[in-house]
Amino acid sequence: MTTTERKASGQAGWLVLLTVGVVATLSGWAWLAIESTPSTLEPLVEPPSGPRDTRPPVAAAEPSALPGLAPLPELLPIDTTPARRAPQVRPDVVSRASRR
Amino acid sequence: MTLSTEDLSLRRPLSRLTIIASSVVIGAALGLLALPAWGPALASSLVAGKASWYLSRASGLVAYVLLWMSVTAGLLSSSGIGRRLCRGPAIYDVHRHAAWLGLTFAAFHALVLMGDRHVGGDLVALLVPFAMARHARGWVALGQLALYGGVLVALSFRLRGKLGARTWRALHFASFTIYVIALAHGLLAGTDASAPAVLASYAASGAVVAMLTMIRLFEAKR
Repeated sequence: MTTTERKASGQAGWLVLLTVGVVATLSGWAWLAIESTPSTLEPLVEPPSGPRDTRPPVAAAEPSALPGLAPLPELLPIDTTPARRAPQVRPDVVSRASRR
Repeated sequence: MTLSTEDLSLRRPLSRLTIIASSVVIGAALGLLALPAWGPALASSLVAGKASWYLSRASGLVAYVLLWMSVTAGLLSSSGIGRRLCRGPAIYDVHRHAAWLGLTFAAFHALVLMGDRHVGGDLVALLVPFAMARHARGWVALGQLALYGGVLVALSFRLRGKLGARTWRALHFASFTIYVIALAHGLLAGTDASAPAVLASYAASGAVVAMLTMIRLFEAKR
């Protein structure tokens, strides 16, 4: 190997090491950034095994701010499930049908 | 036996321009391939101001690997078993280039923290040993001392003729201490040292250097 070839080989080796080092640093940056970013595909909390309750949370009964007044009644959640919903019939229609 | 012009052109070393151009093309291609996957995470780390912290951690590990390569190549080139395994000047090139590149990455590892909120752009804390008050002062100082020691040893490559064999050898033996200090810095100040893969790499690389040093000392005694 001549001196020129040896010099060129040395420079090539230097460039290869530099490239590998830069790529490794950038990959490390990306890996750390990805690791610290929470994934949107994975749920943070495991979903419950049963049917999901989508009703809004109900606030607990609050004591009244005015003295002498009874505390506010506890709010109950509105049951919106179709199976349990009672048929909405006007009271006057029912009374007419029962008369016949 | 005569060689044709084609044979000669094949044996001609690649020019510097060709190597740089091909490196740029390969790098750009890899970058384009990686951008869709890495882009959002890299952008969010930039926005959150964490990019310099991540870059510092990654470049610190790269600097350690390069330092290890340099020390290992040096031990291999100077010991009988190493000379039998790796012949030619390539091992000496790796020893020299890895040392300089390792120092470059180590300097980047420190200076990129200027952009980190935790350090707060305190150049004195980054450059002066034991001046870092916010994070593991003593263990950070080991890294700073290893960097300055490494610069001295790397400079001795160029000043070998002027220094004389004895001084050069003494300076060169100091590189073992520098390696041990850098390893301690990585283990005790490094955020990623608790990761099993990083810990295993530190242990394996340290074992290789220890084994080669023992072989070298054994050969020197014989």
